[in-house]
Amino acid sequence: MCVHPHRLGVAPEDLGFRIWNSGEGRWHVSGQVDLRAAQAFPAMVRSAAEGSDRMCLDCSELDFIDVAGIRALAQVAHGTGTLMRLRGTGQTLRRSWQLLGFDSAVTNVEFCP
Amino acid sequence: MTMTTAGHQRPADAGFRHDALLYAGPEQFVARTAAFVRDALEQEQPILVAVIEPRRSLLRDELGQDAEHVEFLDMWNLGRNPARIIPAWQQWVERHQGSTNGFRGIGEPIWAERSPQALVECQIHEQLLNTAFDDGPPWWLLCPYDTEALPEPVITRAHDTHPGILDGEAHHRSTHYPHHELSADSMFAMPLPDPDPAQIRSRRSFRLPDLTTLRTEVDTQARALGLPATRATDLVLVVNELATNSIRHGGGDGTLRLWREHDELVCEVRDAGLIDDPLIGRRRPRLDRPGGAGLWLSNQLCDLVQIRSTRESGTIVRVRVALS
Repeated sequence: MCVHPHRLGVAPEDLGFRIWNSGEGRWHVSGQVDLRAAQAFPAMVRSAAEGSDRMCLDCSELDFIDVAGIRALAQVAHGTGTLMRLRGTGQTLRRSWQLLGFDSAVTNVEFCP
Repeated sequence: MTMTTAGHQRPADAGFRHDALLYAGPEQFVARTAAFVRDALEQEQPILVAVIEPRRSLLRDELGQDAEHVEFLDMWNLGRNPARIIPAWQQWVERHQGSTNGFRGIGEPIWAERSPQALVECQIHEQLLNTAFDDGPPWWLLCPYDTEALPEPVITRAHDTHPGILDGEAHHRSTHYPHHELSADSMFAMPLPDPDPAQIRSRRSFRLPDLTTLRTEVDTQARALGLPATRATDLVLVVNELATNSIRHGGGDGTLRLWREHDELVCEVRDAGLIDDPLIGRRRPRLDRPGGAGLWLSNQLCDLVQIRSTRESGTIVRVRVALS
């Protein structure tokens, strides 16, 4: 059953996370981004980024994000060229970003408190 | 056994040269490594020295002004998890592979204080250096082994993992290399010691819907054993990646075990899959090439990662973090 193009046949409650918009370029993500979100999360971040030169993704309600999710953020920023500001990320995400080499490979992502 | 009289000469057409340097005590270490470094500098070959203290300072002092032309890396930090060493050499190779004079390195992955578990992974690392660099540009890596401080079996193993041996004046080919127990296949088949059953804190099988529960379990146990919160969060990410690999590549499910061993916390994930890339987790991830990022990150965040994988018994990955 496919109810939404981004959800690829999985019922929304099974995705583990939610992304929503709260105004011009302002996005929020909450919940847990893991293997259940492997297709939906990159697709949703991409469609959020594609519409604008810059976006802010508030991660303060994000409980967990896996390496594929972190990689999706890097790939979308790199692919679209959208200036991506990540707000309220945990230490593990920031450290992983650096250890994966994304801070040198992707220059249009900013972390802010 | 073939002998060459001038141990420090290398044929111009040779590929990667990986030699063990056997020495007894600090004086021989300094004399032999300094000779190797000065020989490199005379030939205008860049050289990177990755050894631990006090040997780093001893060599630096002996080199005096020459040390300004040598790059040093602290092997104690870099090599705590030996799986982080090959990527550092890979960077060195990428920096200098176009150089017409060639280039060199001194790398000391094994020292007397290594734990038995880390020692085995170091020996696998020594063998994997050949796998990683044999088909690449020519360069010369020397691995110092202290015959006074290291037990005999460790020196014997150095003969198995190094195509060449320098033990004083002469260089000779190791008659033990390549060793049949150290092919890429058999390294992944080396046995892992069983944990003490009394120390096992959790044991559970998992599938996709269990990932959240699994993460909570690891977080709870890690904190209960005294791991600081940020490191517990790192460990949760690592175990999540291992479990994700099991679900994606290991038949859809796997088993987690978590226990304490001396002053380390160990997490083990088992599944029915097969890892056939001996260098997995040792290649810097690339944005345009998926795969391997989870094990790469595990190597960066954990003190030791042990990978075993055979067609018969599937895959086991153990990660270890220090509790103190």
